[in-house]
Order: sequence, then structure tokens, then C-alpha cells
Amino acid sequence: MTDMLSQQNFERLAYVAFIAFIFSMPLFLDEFGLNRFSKYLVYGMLGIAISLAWGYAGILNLGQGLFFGIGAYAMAFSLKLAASSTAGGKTPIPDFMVVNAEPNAIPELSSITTGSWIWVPFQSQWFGVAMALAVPAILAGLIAYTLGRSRVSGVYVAIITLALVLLVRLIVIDQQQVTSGFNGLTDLAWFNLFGLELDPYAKSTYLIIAFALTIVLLIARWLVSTRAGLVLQGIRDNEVRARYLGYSVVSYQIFFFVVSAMIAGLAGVLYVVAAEFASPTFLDIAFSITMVVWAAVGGRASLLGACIGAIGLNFIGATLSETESLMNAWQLIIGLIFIVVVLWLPRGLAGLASDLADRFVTRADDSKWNRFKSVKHTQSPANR
Amino acid sequence: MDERRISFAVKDLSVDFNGFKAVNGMNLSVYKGELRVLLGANGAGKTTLMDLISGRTKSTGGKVLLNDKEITNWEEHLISRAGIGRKFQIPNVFKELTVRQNFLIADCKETRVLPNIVRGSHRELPDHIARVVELTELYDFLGTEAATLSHGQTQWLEIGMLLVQNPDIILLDEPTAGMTAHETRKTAEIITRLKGRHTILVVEHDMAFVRSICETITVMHHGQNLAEGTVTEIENSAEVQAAYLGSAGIGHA
Repeated sequence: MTDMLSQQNFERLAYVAFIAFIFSMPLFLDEFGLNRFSKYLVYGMLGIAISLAWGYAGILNLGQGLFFGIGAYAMAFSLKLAASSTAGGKTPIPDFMVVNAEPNAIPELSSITTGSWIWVPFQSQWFGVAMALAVPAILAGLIAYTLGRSRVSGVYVAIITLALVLLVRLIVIDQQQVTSGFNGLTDLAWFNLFGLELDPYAKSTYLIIAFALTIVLLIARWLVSTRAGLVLQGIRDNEVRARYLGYSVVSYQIFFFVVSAMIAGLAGVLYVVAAEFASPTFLDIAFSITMVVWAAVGGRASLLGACIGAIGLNFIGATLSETESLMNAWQLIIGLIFIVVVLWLPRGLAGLASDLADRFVTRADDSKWNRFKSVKHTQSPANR
Repeated sequence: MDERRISFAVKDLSVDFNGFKAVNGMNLSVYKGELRVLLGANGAGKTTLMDLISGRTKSTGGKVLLNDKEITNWEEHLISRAGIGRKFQIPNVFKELTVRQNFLIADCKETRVLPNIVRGSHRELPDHIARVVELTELYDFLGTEAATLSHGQTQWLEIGMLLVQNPDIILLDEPTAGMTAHETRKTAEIITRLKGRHTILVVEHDMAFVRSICETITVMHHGQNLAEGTVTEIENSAEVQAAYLGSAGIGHA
């Protein structure tokens, strides 16, 4: 009992320290540093999404970039329109569409290029935000339902999600007249949050992103602490037993997969707000796999661990790549960190931290004595 | 022939694994509150029969009836919700979770996702779980990961989870396998206590154990119901003896 309480306290302490840390960054960083760190926070949010799907639901999604990319593009559609002017018609037209338009096309969003009508509702930036959450949610629901129904699991899920993100990347690049293809969407407007223009280099924007990350972290933490979260961990551990207790495995997986996708979608929105562009590189397989590495290093079974893993690895990566002597070796170093963690710390840095906390915070002799006593206790049949 | 009500039954149940009929036209009716023992040599189809009843394996012919309602080839979780619980031959628990968490998940009156989010997790074990924990002697191990329990404790944990789940019908596949003498005695005690309140179908080879707990035995052979009767009838049945010829006999099957 005492172990459990101090474990809980340790975890609570780690959450408080982390939140205090991210909110104190404006004290240490200039505006450029702050803008860069806000992108790390977005990666941290992706770490949470991976941890929820992989660490808790047991679904290794190698295509998390799909949800992130959809979120980013949905937001970028809106912010692009906000920055565009009309081309002789009533609706604003993104510059790349003007270039791609047929010579005599009517210069309205609904008609200027094939499929450009899809942009029409994105004139409202809140529609962009809504789609950034809704589309990943619906897609994730369909994927989890289909895979769950046909009882596809393990490495096959990874391969299918990988293929999906590739497929969408191809479509985005191919449909240049709607998506701007390879070039991605640049020259975006600032997000207008109830009158506040979110300048990516402003302290307020950083704080809003930090606040969003905090909320996502706490909601995810709360979700896994509920009974549903417990059942989900049971399902990850032993699907058969869970079914035999009457739980619909697929329902639980759908729910948490959808939540994970929505977090990734939100991360896409915030990334566009901070970075002012959206590009097909978000849908690169390498990016999706990198996310999994962040979570593995931080500890996939710990939401905070995966989040810190993402932020930490990006911070280390950026620092190393800017250190002249290490400029060419930084990816190697990140790779080494990954290998070391996978080989010796299967539960990631979060697992290491919790083991250390166990050792130092709880009185080790005390818990050993308890276990010794209880073993003696059950071994004598006369007891009960 | 009997005025008692049938709890569950299988009729002409068959399954075909690429030409091999593990269960081949099996018939069985178990009455409410009865404790029925299923005997049979290795490969007779006992575990497959349990797989078929509980939905793990889909049958290729015949029916499974629960309270006269057909549940053939339903999904496992729906069969479970309809009131059939199962203990596997190889202990089947949530190994990465603590004993406490195992018990909490087994308390499965509410199985839907959304209500389980609103509910939150219990801090204190509810009384009905605490009683089972006491009965299965796992009180000192509540915070222990199930993977580190001894074999016997894991078996009890699974039986305990079944008790918490509290299904009308319990399928027990060799509940005393690998247990010490003390553990076996205790298990027999637990099962006897369940008798009457639950309908139980148990695969068990320990004849002393069988004699002490059961009234009717069903013997399976080549995926079919070979014989049915009391312990004495079965032990003296020429048919059963013929079927066991070549193997070491009932007690060692």
C-alpha cells in the first residue's frame, strides 16, 4: 500500500514539475527560442497520442502522421484563405490555385480548379479546426473498426497504417490543384483566437500551446485512470480474457484510437499555427516512425514519459545539429540513444524514473519485509 | 426424462478443422445448478467443446442453446454477457496488471466504454470482491503483478475472477492442473461451494476429486458423447473401458 501511494505521489510530482517547466520557458528563451520550443510542445502532444494508442491500447500505429497531417492541412486551408485575396470574384483564392487554374475558369473557390470547391467552407477558421479534429476521428474510427472486426493485430496493423499514410501522401502530392502538392501551403495568416492574433513568435502564442498541451496531457491521464482505461490495459494485455469477461474489445480500441487521432489532429493545428506552413513531409513515413521512437525512448506506457521523450529528443537533436563538431553526427547520436533505450530500458526513461523513485522514495527494507511476511503467511495451510 | 430445467445444451455440434473433426455430432444437456464433469482421453475434444460453447471457435454444424435460446457462433463477449464464464486450462489472466486490477476488471456488470469512463476506478475494493480475495488467499498480493504469482495462485486468481464475474454458467478446464495437494483440496472446496448457485461444466482427471464433487459424468470420445452416468456407472461401463483401452485408464488420461 505504501509503495503505491508514493508511486502516485511521484507521478503527481512529475506532472506538476513538467507543467511548471513548460510554463516557465518564456523566462529563459527569446522569441525565436520560444517559437521553436512551441513546436517541441506540439511534438510532445504527438508523443501523448502515440502513448495512448501504442502504450495503452496496444495498437502500434506507424501512420500517426496521417492524423497530424490532416489536422495541419485542415488548419492551413483556413489560414491560407485568410491570407488570400480575391482574383476578380467574391471568394478569396489561394495563389497556387490561380497558377493551376484553367485559362477561362470562373475565379471563385467553388469552380477555379477541379475539386477546389472543397475549400469553400474553410473560409471559416473554426470550420478548419473542427475538420482537423473530426476527419482524423472518423478515419481513426473506421480504421480501428475494420481492423478490430477482422481481428488484424500486431505487425499487420503497423503495416496497414503505414500504407495508409503513404497513400494519403500520394494523393496530396498528386492533387496539386487542391493541395498545392509538393510545395505545401505557405504564407499563411495568423490564427484569430477571439480577436487575439496568434503571432507565432509571441509569448501569448507559446502560452496557448503550452496550455493546450497541459489540457491534453491531463485529459489523457484522466482517461487512462478511469475504469475504461483499466479495461483497455487489460485488453492490451490479454484480449481473450477481456472478451470472456464480456468486454467488446473493438469498442474500447475504437474509442481510444479515436482520442489518439484527435490529439494528433489538434497537434497538426497547433503546429501550423506555430510554424506557418503545412507540407506533405508531415505525411512522410520517416516522420511517423520518428514519433514512435520519441514515445519508445520516453516510455510508451507513460503519457508524460512519451511527451517528455518527444520534447527531449527534439531539443537534443536541434542542439546537436547546431553544434559544429557534431553537425554530421547528431542523427547517429539520436539513433544510439534509441538503441540503448530499447536494449536496456524497455519501459523507456519513464520506466527508469519510476524504478529509481521506487528505490529512493520508498523504504526498500520495509516493502521487502512485507513481502517476506506475506509469503510465510500463505504457505502455512493452517492459517485459514 | 427429467423435470429439472436445462441450463445449456449442445445439439449435434461439430467443428471441422480442415477435415479433422475435433467435435463430431456432440450432444449434451446440463441442468440448472448441476455440476457436470467431462471426461475423455487427450484429443477427445473436451477443450474444443468448451471453445465452441463459449464462442472462441466457430462451429461448422449443430447448435448451442442457452436457456433454450440459440447462441451458436455468437461473439465471445456476447456469450459472456449472456451468462457463460470460463476458466482456461492454461491460466488466462491479465499478467501485466496487478491482482487488484485483475479483480476490478473482472467485476464486469458494466461493459460499455462510455459509462466506464464516467465511473472512474475504485480506490477501495468493493465488499463482494474483497470476499473473493479472501477466499482465494490473495489478500497479500493485491499490489503484485499477476505475472509474478505462483502457478497455483494464478489458477486461483482466474477462478477468483470468475467468482467476481459471477456468471450463471461456469466452464472450468482442468482447474486443479499443476496444483499442490493443499491447493487442490482448497479448489475442490471452492467448487463445491459454487455448486447449486452456478451451473458448472468441468474437465477434470483427478478421480478422487471427481468422486467428491460430482453426480453425473459425461465421457467424450472422438468428439462425441460416448457415455453418461454416475461415477460408478461410468467406471463399470464396458464402452468406456473399450474406449480407454490402450491408454492408461480413466485416472491417468
